[in-house]
This record gives sequence, C-alpha cells and structure tokens, in this order.
Amino acid sequence: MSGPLWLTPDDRQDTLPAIPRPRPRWATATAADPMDELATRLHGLVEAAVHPDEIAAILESDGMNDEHIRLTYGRANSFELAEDLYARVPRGYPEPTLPPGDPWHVSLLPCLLRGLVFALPGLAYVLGAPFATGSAPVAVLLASALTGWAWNQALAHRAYTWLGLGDRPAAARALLVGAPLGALLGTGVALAVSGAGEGGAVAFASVQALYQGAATVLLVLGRERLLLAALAPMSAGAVLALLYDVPDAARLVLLAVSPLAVLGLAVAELLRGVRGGRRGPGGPRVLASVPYGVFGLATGVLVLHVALGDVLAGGASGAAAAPGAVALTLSMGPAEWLLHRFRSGTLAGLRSATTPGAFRRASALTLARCLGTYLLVLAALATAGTLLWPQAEGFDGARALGLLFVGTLMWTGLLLQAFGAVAVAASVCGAAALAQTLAVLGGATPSAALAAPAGAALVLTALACGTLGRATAHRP
Amino acid sequence: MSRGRHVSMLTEGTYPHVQGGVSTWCDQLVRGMPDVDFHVLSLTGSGREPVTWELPANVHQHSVVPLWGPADGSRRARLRGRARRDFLATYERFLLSVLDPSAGCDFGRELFALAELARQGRLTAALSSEEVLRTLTRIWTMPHLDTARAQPTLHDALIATDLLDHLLRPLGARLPDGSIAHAVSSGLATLPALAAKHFDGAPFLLTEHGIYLRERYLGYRSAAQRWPVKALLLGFYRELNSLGYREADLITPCNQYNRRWEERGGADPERIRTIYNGVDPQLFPHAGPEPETPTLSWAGRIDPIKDLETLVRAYAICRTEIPALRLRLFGGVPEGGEPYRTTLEKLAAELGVTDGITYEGRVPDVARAYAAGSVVMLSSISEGFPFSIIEAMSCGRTTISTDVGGVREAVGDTGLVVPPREPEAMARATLQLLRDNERRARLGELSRQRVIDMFTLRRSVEGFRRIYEELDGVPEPVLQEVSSEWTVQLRIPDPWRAMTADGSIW
Repeated sequence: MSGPLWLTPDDRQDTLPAIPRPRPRWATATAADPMDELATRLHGLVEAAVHPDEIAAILESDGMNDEHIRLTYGRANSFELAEDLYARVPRGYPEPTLPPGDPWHVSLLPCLLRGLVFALPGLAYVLGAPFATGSAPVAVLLASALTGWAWNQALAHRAYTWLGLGDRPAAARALLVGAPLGALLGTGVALAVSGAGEGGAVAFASVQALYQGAATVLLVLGRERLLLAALAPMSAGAVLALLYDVPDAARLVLLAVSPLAVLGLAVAELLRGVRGGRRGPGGPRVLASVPYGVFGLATGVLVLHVALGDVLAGGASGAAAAPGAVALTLSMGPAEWLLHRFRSGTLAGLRSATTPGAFRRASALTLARCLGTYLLVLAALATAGTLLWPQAEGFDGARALGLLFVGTLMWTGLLLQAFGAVAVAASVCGAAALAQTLAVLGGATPSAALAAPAGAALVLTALACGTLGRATAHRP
Repeated sequence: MSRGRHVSMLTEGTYPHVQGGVSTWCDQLVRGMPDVDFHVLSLTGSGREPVTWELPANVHQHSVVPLWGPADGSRRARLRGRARRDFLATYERFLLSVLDPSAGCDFGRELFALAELARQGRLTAALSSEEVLRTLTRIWTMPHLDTARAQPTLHDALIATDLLDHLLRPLGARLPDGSIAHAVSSGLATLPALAAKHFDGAPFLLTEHGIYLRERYLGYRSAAQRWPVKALLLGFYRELNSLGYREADLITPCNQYNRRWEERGGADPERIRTIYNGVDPQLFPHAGPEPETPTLSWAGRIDPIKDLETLVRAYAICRTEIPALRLRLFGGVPEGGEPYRTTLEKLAAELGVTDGITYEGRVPDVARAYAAGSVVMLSSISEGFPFSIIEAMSCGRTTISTDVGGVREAVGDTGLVVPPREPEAMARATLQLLRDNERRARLGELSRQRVIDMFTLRRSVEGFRRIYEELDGVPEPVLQEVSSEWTVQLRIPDPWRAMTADGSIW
C-alpha cells in the first residue's frame, strides 16, 4: 500500500521474491520435520537474508500467518520462525542474479561514423577553394568557425543535460533556441572580421554557421546516420573536384545542397521533438554549460595551430599541416570509443578492487592503455595522410610532435569533461591555447611554440591520473 | 495559534503524485478537515513528477523533496579541519550503528548529527569525499562482520554511499513552525518529522498503511546490488524504521495486524492506536440486485502484489463447475506494468478461460465495478486495510478475500477469508457462496451494516482530528460541530470521479 520503491530511478518495477514451489499444504504428514522441509525449500532465500526479519517478510508474503506457524512449526509467530531459520542456515552471500552489466559498452562502428561526420564537412573547403582567395577570407572563415564550434559545444552540453533528465522535448526546445542563435553569432563574427569585398566569404561563413547548428541538432538527437546521408552529395562532389575540373556553378550547387539538406532535416527533427512536452519545474543552469564552450574554443584554437602551422604568422602554406587536422577530426571517432573503453576499464577496476590503492593502480593502467591507443591511432592517421597527400612534405617532426601534444590535450580534456571536471580541462587547454597563440604571434619558432601544448599535455595527463584514480570520481 | 490547525503531511511516492490507496486516504483526510491548514511535503524521484491530485484550498503549501534531484548546496562546500574530523567520526558511528550491533552506537544520535549538516545544505558535499568512502571500506571489512565475508568491493562502497546520500536527502527538509509532523508512511517520510521533533519540538504522528520495512525487504530481493550493499541499505531502513517507532508521539496503523511489526520494531504498545480507513456510505450506496450472469468482480491496480494469478486460477477452477461464470477486472495497468498483464493473459489462455475474463480498465464510477459482481474478490498477498473491500461492503456486496494485513479485521464475519496464494481454497469459498443465494444476500446486508457501524469516513477523519488536537496539547477530546451536510465536502471533488477527467483513476 505504500508508494513505489524509488530506490533508483530505473528500478521502479515491482518485484516479488519467487518462492520455490510447490508449497505443501502446511502440515504434511510426509515431512518428518516440517522445519527441515521449510529450511530446505527456502534455503536460497534464507542464506541470502541480511536479517531474520527479511525471512519473516518472505514467510508472510507466502501467506503464512501466525496461526499456521503455531500449528505447523510450533513457533509463536513469523518472527520467531524466521529467527530459527536464520540461525539454522549459514549465510551464503550469493551474487546478484543479474550479471553485472557494462553500461559503457559501445560498438566501434557508430563511433567511427561520428568521427567521419566530423571530418566530412572539411571537404567543403575543397569545393569552396576557388571562391576564397588571399589570406583575409581565411580569417573570416576561421573566426566564424571557432565561434560556432565553441557555442555549439556549450549548446550540446545543455541539450544533453536535458536528455539526461529524460526530457527530450526540453532538449529539443533548447536546441531550437540555441542553434539559430549560434548561427547568428557565427555570421555576426564573420561580418565583424571581414573587410571590404569579402561578401562571398561572409556568405560562406554564414552557411557554415547554419550547418554547424543544424549538425549539432542532429548529433545531439542521435541522428548521425541522417547527417551522414545529407553530407553524401557534397563529399562525392569534393572527391570529384579533386580528380576533375568541376565548373563553378556545379561547385556552388554541391556546396549548397548538403547544408540545405542538413538544415531541413534538423528543422524537421526539432519540430517533431518539441511536440508533446510540458514545461516542468527545475532544469540545468545556463552557466553550467559555459565551461564546455570555453573548452571547445580552446581545443579549436589548438587544432588550428596544428592545421595551419605558421600560416597565422604569415609563414608557409597551410597545406603542409593539413594531414594533422584531418587526422585529428577523423580520430574523434576512435577517441569517443576509447572514452567508453576507459569507463568500462575503470568500472571493472572498481568491481575488483577492495582497496583505494589497488583501484588507483588499475585506473592509471587503464588511462595509459587508452591514451596510448589513441595516440597510436592519431599517429597512424597522420602518417597515412602524409603518404596520400603529396603536397604535405612539410609535415615534419615538430608538426608531428605538436599533433600528438594536441591529441593528448583533446582526449584527456574530453575524458575529464566526461567526468565532470570540465573546469580543469577548460582552464588547462585555454591556457595552452592562449600561450601558443601569443608565442606564434610573438614570432617564436614552431618548435618553441610547442612548449605550451607540451607542458599543458603533461599537466592535464597528470591531473587526469590523479583525479580519476580516486574512486569517488566514478560516482554512479 | 489555534490548536491542531497546522499539519505537515509527509508522503513518499504517493499523494499527490500517484493514484492508489494511500493517496486516496490522504485526499480524504485533507478534504475532511477544511478548517485545518495542511502543508504537504512529498518525497519523489526526480522532482519533476506531475501532481495528479487536485489540491484543495486548505493545502496552503506543497513542497517536493526529490530523492534523485540535484543536491542542495554544493558538492564543493567541503568540510575542513575540525568539522571534517567530527563528521567522519559521526559517520563512522552511524555506519557502526547500522552494521555492527555489538559496537553500541546510537543510530538516532548520529542521524541527528547528520541532520544538522543536512539542514545547512552540506551533507551531500560531506558524503562525497574520498575519506567517507574509506570509512565505509574500513568498517564493513571488519573481520567479525558478515559484510566482510561477502567481500565488498570499492564499487559496492560507491553504490552504497551514493544510495545513502540520496536516501538522506529528506533530512534537510524543514517543516513550517508550529505544525504537527504527520508522516503517512514509515521510513524516509519520517526523516523531516524526526528532525522537526528533535530540533524544533514538533509533535510527530506516524501513520502506517502497509508495513514499510516489510515492503523494503520484499522489494529489495531482486535488486542488482551485491550482498554488502543490501545489508547496509536494509540495515539503514531497519534502524530508521525503529527510530521512527520509538520517537513518534503516536503511531496510528490502519489495522491491528500492523502492530506486530510495529511492536517488533520497538514501538511502545501504549502509543499505538489503530484507526481504520473509512468510506462514505453515500458515495458507495447499496448496489441493488446482482447481475444476472454469475460474475466475480475485482477492482484495483493490475500489479503483482495483487496476485491476480491466484484469482485467475481460482476462477478457472470455478468455471468447471459454473460454466457461465465471468470474471471482470476493473482497474488500470500502472506504468511499466504491461508485462504483468501479459503474464495474466497467457495464464488465462493456458487454462482455457480467456473468453470469460474481461479487462474493464479504469472506470469513472468504482461503485459500479462492485455492483457488477455477484461477489467481490481480493487476492492480494499484502494489504493494509484495503479500500476495495470496505467499498464493496458499503455497496452491500459480500467479499472473498485473502487473509493478509487488515483484511480479516475489515471483513469480520460478513464475507469469506482464505489463505493467500491458494487458488483451490479461494475457488472452494467462491463456489460455496455462489451456490447459496440466500447466504450471499445476507452477508451482503451484513457487510453494508458493518461499514456503517465501524468504517465510515467520518469516523476515520474525526479520529485524526482528535489526535491532531491531542498532539497540540488540547487535553480533552473536543466535540466538533459537524454540519449534517458534511459529506458535501467530499462529494464535490470526489477523488474517484475527479480523477477520471484525465482518465487516471488508480
């Protein structure tokens, strides 16, 4: 008669003990000693009991009342009978009937798909290259892209928080407001940075900002396959453009088709998503999403340094470093998968460790394994890119090292962010991004400018090791 | 301040969010005392559960304490220095009081120390430290404890600490000054009441419908946690339950049967006063003639605790004797309960009686559900003082029910009571009654008379009114002038009817 057992949010199913049957009709002439018979029949339940009263509860739920207990077992009531049974059967500590699940298990393919989805839009620059001339439009595009990236990271966090609260309509509402605002902001920044005669670049940046918002919507709502399908025409066109000479008009059509499709799909998804929801009390604070935006901005800047090398300082062509940027974006798929692997690994560690020290070691080992794997994947991708990309002979040791530092920062930062330590990730990556930018603008050599990401990577890894070695960081 | 006029009603997972017996009871009580100001404090899951009962005007405040919502205060508000050391020592004694009876630690003393922190919004932060985890790891691996033999892991410690944190959330909730704390179930709902009594001297009344601790034991059985977690959590529930029994100024079970567990848990028999649930005989009037086809009627939530499998089996046995017999089940399937309904349908198909059973769903007028039966059935394995039985009795229908909780007290000799989980016994009793028209009619009349004599809503509500006055220091029972049209209060927003607007009866 009392309320549902809200022990855990997912555990609201009413459950009753399955009591072994057939239950003999109380006193049976055949049983030599009814107590023995009862103890044998209920053995599994009695050995798992934590207190005699638990057995009394089971007996009563089986329909035994005190009258029957007196007649059959010669005990005064269910409590006395339960105490007798509890004393008679040794404790057995059975493991839960449900095998310990691994909530962090994910398959690799969807992760790789998401990585691909991050990388494909890059092909737009191949198609758009003829329209962007000189170096100034690059700044317009970059400023807008960075703004959109940071904004959408924060927006995605807010929407994911709503989803985590089980309120999909609220998540859709957050996206419906946030995504257009982000597109406006991206366009505004592009306008502010652009000079005279750069209208084309601003238009491109505006489309790019719209795309970023729409793609965020589809990704957060778990529609990456739709996104991939929408990106297909543009990707195919870009590959074509690399091999053949594609006329400008066709390039423009290809450039417009995919973002328009993504935009249409996102709008449809949102309009469907916001329906049926009632605005409930409570909800996440807006401020809580800000550090995610800062982290996004910082990693964006760091990736730009890898991608563009000394272009910002007016040096060699960015093409030299392009394989690094492509490798980083493609590696986001394996990175996501490895984040889950880390969760699985530490969960297994928690389940086997009986002392904090043992867990600290297990956690450090898992971190080393996952980060190592990630860096190997990143290095492999960059190497493959260098081999496939003939213009990239400038991708030297310093650049490779820089790529690994930024990879470490990104993965460890994402890891800390996943564990709620987003402030740590955002401040270390932010400091590194700022320091490297200042160094590059101050004319430091590429190798010297690497000091900032290198130091930051070391600090962040140490912090991750320390933070995630504490069992309390893995609170359910 | 007028006496007995301010009451804080504390609920867990029931009123005013969920339909069911306890919620109906709460609604009746609140509507039955329009002159008493109620503050309803409900413990819920996420805190985003909708309110499904219309709150009357005398509920001047409703607050929610979500067990799984965001924490009050901040996790960063860590304790430092001496406060930290004191807290860890308190927490250690708290754990010992639950896990190690031989340590001689007092659960109540430590709980109130934790309550002080909770009232400052610092308990969650305090419980999230690494040292807290280590304290638990150290305590429950002490070699002389059962938990040590179950080899608790760090994961167990994390789960247990997290659950304790959430279960202790209500400890920080404050009640309005000068109000009576009325917990309408034992366990977590008593936490704010215990704190209010300890810190502010509020009178504390505890009403039990089901037996809270027994339900925790039964409900925990198939949970996914390992043994040490189960031992700690159920130990916590047990100690809390006993503390509530010891501290309450008065305990009002809704049946005599509950007293067994209450006295077992340490309640002073002098302070236990049974107050039966009541029903308004005007809302459940005499149902008139029986249906022409012999029919078994049942009303309630389609839920495993109602053990409808036994009912379906008993029905199948009866059908072999009376082929025309029908079974009509009135009531909805609660969220997540669909698998159980499927189980029932499969069972009926196996027994070859599908064609005789109808699922009527929720009905606007429950009295009609009772009228639809030649007899009214109840097959539950656990009950407090079931409304469906006294309502059916009020309609002049005799009942066949299982001998659980307060059922025997409700039915008396006006119906048949059989052991639970025994389809054959239930079928025998059913056939007896179905074959004896004269006896059935006589028992029906006796049933209605028994309700009018003993279980009217008015009697139940007046019982609580007197208790409120008593707890507030009014020495003698004060006779209230009650208008003869008193039931109008209840008829206008009739809980059963009111809820059908959105189809969410039960």
